[in-house]
Amino acid sequence: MKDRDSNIEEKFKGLKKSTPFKVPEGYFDEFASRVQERIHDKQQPGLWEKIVQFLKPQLALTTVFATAALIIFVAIKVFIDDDPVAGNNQLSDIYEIYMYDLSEEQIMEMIYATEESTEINEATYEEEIIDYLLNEGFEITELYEEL
Amino acid sequence: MAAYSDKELLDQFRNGGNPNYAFHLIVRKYQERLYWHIRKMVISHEDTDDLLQETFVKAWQALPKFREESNLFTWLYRIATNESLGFLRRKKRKQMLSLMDAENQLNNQIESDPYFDGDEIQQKLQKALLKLPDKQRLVFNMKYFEEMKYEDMARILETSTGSLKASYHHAIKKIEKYLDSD
Repeated sequence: MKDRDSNIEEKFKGLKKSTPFKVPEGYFDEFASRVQERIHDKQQPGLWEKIVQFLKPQLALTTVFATAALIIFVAIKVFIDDDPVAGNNQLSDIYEIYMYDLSEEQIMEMIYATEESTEINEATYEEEIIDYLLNEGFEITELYEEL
Repeated sequence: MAAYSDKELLDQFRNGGNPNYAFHLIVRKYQERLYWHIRKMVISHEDTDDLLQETFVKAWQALPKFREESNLFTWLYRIATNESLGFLRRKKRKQMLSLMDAENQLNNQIESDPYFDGDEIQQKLQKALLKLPDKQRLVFNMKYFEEMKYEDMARILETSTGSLKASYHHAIKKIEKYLDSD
């Protein structure tokens, strides 16, 4: 490939290898100083950096308050929990614990006792209605006919 | 100005007590070579001036961390190359939205550039070069104009000498074809 490239380069023999471009007069004499200036300019803070510098203390203070508020909020949520679902869960846990401690007979007794108290309540309720109607002037016979 | 070696300049930058002056000397030492390297890629003097300044600003920022795994010249050349290729990429991206493509614009720049004083054949060669992909053009410039060794080019461009030889060969073939067809 090297030989082939050398042959091809023969074709460019008529060309001057020197660059056809030129630079403004004195360009390279001043260039290094201009680079130093550009570096100096880049080291100066820009408008945005100046604003950030100015607002830094205020931003820091706001961040502290926001963090404190967040911690307090999380603490309240964790320690003072008034979630009704969670409350029911606690009750059902207690119920489960006690149910496991009770015998079958005790459970049946509890069920009958609940049914009896309901019947008593229902009877008391009927008597109260009859008393009320009698007081209001209804005839006892009419009432029994209705019943 | 005394001709300092890269090592002396780096020592002066790090331990000499006046890094600004040491860096000033580094700029003076390499400004011309890097200028022509960038100029051949971006054509316009104004763009070259801006990219060369940016190259040295980046070098200034990164120099304290420079670990001398490559020599200073290779390192600076690499920054300048990346700046030039990045600039051309951005330019092409912008011009995808406009009617004139990057190649046409660079062609026009050669014709109207007040800082171009090549003859007709040189102008033709520059226009042929603009037909090449940017990386091929870079390889051609470094090999043909700057007469750089493939090994040095490989270190700067972080690639193998084999692929550089292939790129150079393809570039020459394309230029030859363009010049013959004209």
